[in-house]
Amino acid sequence: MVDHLLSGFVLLLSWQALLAALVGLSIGIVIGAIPGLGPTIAIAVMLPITFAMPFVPAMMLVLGIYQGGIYGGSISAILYNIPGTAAASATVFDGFPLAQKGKARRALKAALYASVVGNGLSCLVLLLVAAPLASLALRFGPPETAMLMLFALIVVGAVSGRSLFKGLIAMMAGLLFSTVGLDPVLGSSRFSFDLRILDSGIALIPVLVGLFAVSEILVQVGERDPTASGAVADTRQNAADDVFGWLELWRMRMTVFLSAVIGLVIGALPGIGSTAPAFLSYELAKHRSKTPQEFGHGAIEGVVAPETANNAVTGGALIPALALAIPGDATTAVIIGALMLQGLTPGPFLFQNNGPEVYAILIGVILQTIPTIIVGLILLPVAVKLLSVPRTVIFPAVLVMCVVGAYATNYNVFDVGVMVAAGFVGFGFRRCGYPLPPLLIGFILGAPFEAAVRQSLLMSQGDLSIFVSRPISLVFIALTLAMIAVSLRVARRMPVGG
Amino acid sequence: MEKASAVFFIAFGLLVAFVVIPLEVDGGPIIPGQPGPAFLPKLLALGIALAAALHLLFTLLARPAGPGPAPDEAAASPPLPGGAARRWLAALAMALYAPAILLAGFFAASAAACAAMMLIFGERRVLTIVPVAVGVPGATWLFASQALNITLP
Repeated sequence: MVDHLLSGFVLLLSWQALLAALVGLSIGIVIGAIPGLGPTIAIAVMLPITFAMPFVPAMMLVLGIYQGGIYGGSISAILYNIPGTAAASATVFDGFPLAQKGKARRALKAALYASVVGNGLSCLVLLLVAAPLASLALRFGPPETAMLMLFALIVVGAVSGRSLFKGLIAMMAGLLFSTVGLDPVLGSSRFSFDLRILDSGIALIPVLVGLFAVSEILVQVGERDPTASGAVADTRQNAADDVFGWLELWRMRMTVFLSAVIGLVIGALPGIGSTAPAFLSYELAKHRSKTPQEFGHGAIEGVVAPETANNAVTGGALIPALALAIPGDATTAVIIGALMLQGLTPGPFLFQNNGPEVYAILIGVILQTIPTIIVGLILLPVAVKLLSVPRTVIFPAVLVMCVVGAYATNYNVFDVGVMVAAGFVGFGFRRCGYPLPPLLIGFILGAPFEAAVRQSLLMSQGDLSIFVSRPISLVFIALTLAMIAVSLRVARRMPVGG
Repeated sequence: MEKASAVFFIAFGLLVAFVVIPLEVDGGPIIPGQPGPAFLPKLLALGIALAAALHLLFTLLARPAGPGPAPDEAAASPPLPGGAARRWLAALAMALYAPAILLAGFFAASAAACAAMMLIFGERRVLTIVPVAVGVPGATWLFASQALNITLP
């Protein structure tokens, strides 16, 4: 591990990697600040660009967008009462009231510092935990891998969105779409509809871009411009105490620590994402506060807690993504796509086969906390300016860029059609309240899941007991059944909706 | 919407399982102990139908939904008058985009699509539409072809 750490550090010390990190952070912060866009869309659109780049700069670009985007969502949350990303939904409760009182800079700096600390802490844990977890995963054979993926798929389906059944339907739909192409064992054609191009399956990038970016354009075109409501904080009017410093953040260290733990632990669970940790940490901070009545009216801890948690998710979500090839959320699913584009296979062998490269990016995401502060402070005014670019310009421009991204996958216009179709599917799902992350994660995990199941059955000559006769596999089956039981119980108690 | 979507997925699952799969999934050689190529797709299709049926049952039996948005979605903006029509037009523009690229090439198709989308979004200033509709595809083409060596049609 030490050798790989040192080699990784050397790989990181190139001007291309540093430049890519800064560019990624900048893009992420700006895109994250625009309601309707977000790091997932930004990474998906930039993916074809990373194909032409060396590995470390490519991943620094992608991870920079990821880290910057989560923080960027807080900017419009504080200034416009509109979360730029779903993860910033809890930040509006106290961020916007602070801005209305003329303390926008206080709120923005608190969000920035909290984001950096949350991100840094979780990435440090990632550095320590990922490789040992990958080593543990080497003991996994096809049955263990299959059952782990089944557990991840069920968790994603069960906890995404507000309805158990909708999440499971979305997950199974994603798995079904992944079966298009040739059967992995027998080579038979499935769902090609006499189109040879479909024998190689549906490409990931057009689906990614379509599900998130194109569907968002369709959502936005039918809704009022959220920034035209007039409810904008006046950043010119600053109160005398419109300041925030590291000392004040240190005084809230217990809130920061607990929020980081919540984000890290929940972020490591597949499918949950960064929104739930943000709300949980907000509620915990309010519960622990000596002045809970201030929450919702401009309590600075009401900004610090959710921003620490939602940024701590970045490291947590990368743990299963790198070590086990299980995406923690939709954005890490896209990041897995970026790794695959570079010719690397996430999972237990990633650290063995590409140790220096992987450690380079792990060290990079930790060190990125420093430029995040600098870039964040510099870009705050720019991001605020960009919010004034009308969406009548932004979204058509995004569509054109999406088309380039989709086309560049295989240099085939067919993939542009796939992107548009995925956009329609994504829009339909969203309108009917079906969550998109399980659909995407099902699509990504479908092929390796089926391969693991088929390999297991080949090993056992069709005997299903192979899945229950191996201890680790049995543990995952038990966890899966427990998750289903808990989810069914919760579903029976909850009102139907969403 | 709940019931309609549930019925849709029941129909979708059953259609895929009993109509599409027999037509579109080749049987392949039989290996003892190995499920065939249709096994997983059929299982998933039937799983979708079953989950949708259970969802429909729970919807019919359960109490109405409470207020408030889903916690995992940002607050939605109020709908725009004529929003549904705009969505249909946007969908049409997107659907025609790929064939337009084949017929007219990337730049012309993108300029037309960009202008169309701006109009659909409500932009009416010609001095904004023309530069953006020309500039964005032009800049994108330049960046893609010169910086990334991506040859666009």
